[in-house]
Amino acid sequence: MLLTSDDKLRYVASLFVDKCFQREEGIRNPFFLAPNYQMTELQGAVALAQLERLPDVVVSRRKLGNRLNDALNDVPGIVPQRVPQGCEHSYFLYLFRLDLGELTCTADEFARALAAEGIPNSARQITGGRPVYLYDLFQHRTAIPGSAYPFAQPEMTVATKWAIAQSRNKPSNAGSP
Amino acid sequence: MGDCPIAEQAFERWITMNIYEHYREFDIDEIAHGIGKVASHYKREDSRCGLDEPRPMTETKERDRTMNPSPIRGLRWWIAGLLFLCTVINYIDRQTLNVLGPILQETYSWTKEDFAVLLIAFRIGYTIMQCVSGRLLDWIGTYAGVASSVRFIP
Repeated sequence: MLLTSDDKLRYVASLFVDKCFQREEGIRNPFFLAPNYQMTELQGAVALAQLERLPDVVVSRRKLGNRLNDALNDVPGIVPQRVPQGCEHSYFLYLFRLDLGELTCTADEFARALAAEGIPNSARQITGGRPVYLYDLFQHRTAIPGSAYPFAQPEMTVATKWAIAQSRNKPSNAGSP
Repeated sequence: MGDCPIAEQAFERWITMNIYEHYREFDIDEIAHGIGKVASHYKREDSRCGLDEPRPMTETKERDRTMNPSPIRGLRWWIAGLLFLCTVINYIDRQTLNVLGPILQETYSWTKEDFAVLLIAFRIGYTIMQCVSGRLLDWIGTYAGVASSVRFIP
């Protein structure tokens, strides 16, 4: 637990425990590398107990997800998620793609109409609505603020280079009498 | 933008939703029906004077009502009302012993100690069910669980 009167420190700390998702601003565009340390010991204990149910949960979700895939296969304008041969999907989320050539709407309009039908959903929202490589973290190479690591190695000193060269040129003693 | 146009284009076309393990096949069929209905509404029909504008919602609603009449009008509100009544009945059940206490004592000539034993027995059953009802509902499912809680549990 962190107690502080420094609002900037509070903000950075809140980002650090939440993957640098800027929830206060309503956007997900991480600009530094941050873990996901939000679970308390009590929540962890409950999750550990709930893990016993995981196999049954996955079996049930697979059955339902595959049923929905089958049902959507023949719907014009809808492209269900392809599950490659030999793979199984756990359907943590259910995604499908719109064939906008067949439809006269955008994904946002489709999502609103689907919500009006009583089916909660969101358009373009996975990974914050942008591919992960477009996160500022990768675009500006700021995984660790103030450092280029791990995108660029620091310049080696002459002494380091000399030591590496010496170790490579050192004759091996293996097999010598 | 532009690093990978295919990935970025895919983001313009994705719909994300949840399906949960407690859903029934009926729920999945309802979701598929809803998706099909919206897709049908926005389906591009080049023969329609070449217009790309979406059709008025009223038109599609009318067509859907004609083609796929709902078995019960306002079914969701009926379900919400029934669930509310279930909750009310269960709360009334919990108060029954307290309200009937004086009458029962007089009718069966119970002393206060006798009535206390009855209440304790009720509380013991209540405590046991608090511990096992979650597992029981997981086992028999929420649909059968709600129905049996109204039908059988006093």
